[in-house]
Amino acid sequence: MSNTKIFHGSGAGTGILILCFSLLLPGVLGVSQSSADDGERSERMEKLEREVQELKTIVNQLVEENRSLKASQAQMQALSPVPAPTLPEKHGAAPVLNIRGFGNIQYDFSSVNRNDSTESDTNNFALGDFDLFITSRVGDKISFLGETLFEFPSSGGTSVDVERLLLKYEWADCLNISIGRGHTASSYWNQYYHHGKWLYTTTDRPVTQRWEDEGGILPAHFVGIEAGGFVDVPGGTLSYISELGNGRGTVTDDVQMVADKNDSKMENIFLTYEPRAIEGLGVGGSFLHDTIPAKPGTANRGNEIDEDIYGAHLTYTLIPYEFIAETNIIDHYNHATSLRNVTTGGYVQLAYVINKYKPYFRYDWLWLDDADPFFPGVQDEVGYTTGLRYELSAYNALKLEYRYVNKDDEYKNEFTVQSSFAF
Amino acid sequence: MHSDKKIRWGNRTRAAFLCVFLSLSSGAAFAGEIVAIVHPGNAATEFSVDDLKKIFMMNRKNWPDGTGITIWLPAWGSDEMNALTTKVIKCGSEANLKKYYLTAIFQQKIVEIPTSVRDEQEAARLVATNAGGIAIVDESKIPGDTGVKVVRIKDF
Repeated sequence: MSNTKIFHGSGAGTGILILCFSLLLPGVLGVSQSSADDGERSERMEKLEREVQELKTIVNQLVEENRSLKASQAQMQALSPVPAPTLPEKHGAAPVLNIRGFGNIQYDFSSVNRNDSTESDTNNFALGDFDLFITSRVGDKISFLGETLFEFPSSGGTSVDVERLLLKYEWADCLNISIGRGHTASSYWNQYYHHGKWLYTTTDRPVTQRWEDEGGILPAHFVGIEAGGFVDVPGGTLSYISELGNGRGTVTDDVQMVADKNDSKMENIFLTYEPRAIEGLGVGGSFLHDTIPAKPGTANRGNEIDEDIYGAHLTYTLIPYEFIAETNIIDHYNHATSLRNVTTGGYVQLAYVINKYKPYFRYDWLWLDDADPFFPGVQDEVGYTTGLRYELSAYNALKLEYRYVNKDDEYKNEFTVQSSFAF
Repeated sequence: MHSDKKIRWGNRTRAAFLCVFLSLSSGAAFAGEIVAIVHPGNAATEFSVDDLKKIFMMNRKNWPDGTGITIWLPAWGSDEMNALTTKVIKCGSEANLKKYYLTAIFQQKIVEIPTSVRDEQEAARLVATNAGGIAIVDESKIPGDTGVKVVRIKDF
């Protein structure tokens, strides 16, 4: 963009206008230098000159008044500057609470065909999780986040889950520290897409990214301490997250919040490199190590399980494109059986923004080691998802989605219409 | 008789009309260069589009001297906001920017959505009195004697 000429100063314009009067008036009045009535012309010229002089005096007065008015304003601003953002510890007031949230309502249709040749169709309206999100700045560089989920299980009733409770200290761009319960940085999706379905392009999470209490295979939540930030490196930016926490409990949906059933802690590192040369590109990986406590009385769970989870992700998210590809490998060494069980899974998601429309496609896969006793009831799964997201407003999206899901003992055709929103 | 009072427009009149044209032009609202304004104590001399993108996407929250960055967004619907969304952040639209900031809240990147200003005058007033402040403005609309430091945007 070339710089356009900037014109300033009403004062210059005023002076020029006065000059115009001086030049134009003789011509407008038809005064000719050859007129025989020199006396009359001379008198008129003198009168005009007096009037011009008076106008100039008035203009000069106005300019001077304007200048002193501006000077007074500047003085007043210097004496009473805009106060810095209110800090509770300086003013003794309570921190300001910001409440936001997510919700979604949907209609589902599912047609299931099982390997035993039975079929069933179901259709229902469903109330999605009601997600209350609270943030507050409690200090200059300290903030609080709380996320409470009201869930409506298919069995009926309502359950309340405190999903995240974090206090964050922002030391510098290269170092932020959070303590509390948060999302494990075990995958790109889990780090960037939290509980609100409005955040998702699709109606639901990828198969490998399901929550622990929905048959998910990854430890999506942890309680502990997290350090993160980003640094400029040659060619781009490297962001990192490292975590130390209580780790898994005896079963997948046991997030240890107040005690740790074994002394070992979960350790995790998550890295993403974003090259400057290709805006929107991100590539990275993660590694998590934990020791899963024994579960006496359960087959092949009489001893601990060493867990190593490897992750890799490749993303390109510069509008209008969205490309996310991610894979995880879960390596369990079972001390009870002396066997190694390896489960792999991942997804590839593509989307493209066309004004308010966003068509998308995702391929999911999960290949479970059937001998792994830590994932009872979880099946191999391959899924194809396609749909369209439409932005009804800045904070309300309508999604139409079709999914084909193939599991060990069944395959399903599913259709969902979802209205998801943020507030 | 009329010929005796013939109007001589000549050079004087042409000059007068030129002056009228210039005087009208001097008060016109020509669009100026989009620049960043910061507190006069800020050491920045030039920003790249990438620098500003990191700042306005809340990926960079501190100046090199450790002072926290406070951003003031242009007025929603303004040309300056359009420049921010299409040429700096490149998110395509104001709706996408709002969505980004709300997502950033849920990712605990920020606590609140940044405040937008009414006009350049308010932006200048806020930035001049906030050590970490920064705003994107049309340079031609910056009122005189505001005490802000104008920083050019490279490759804009």
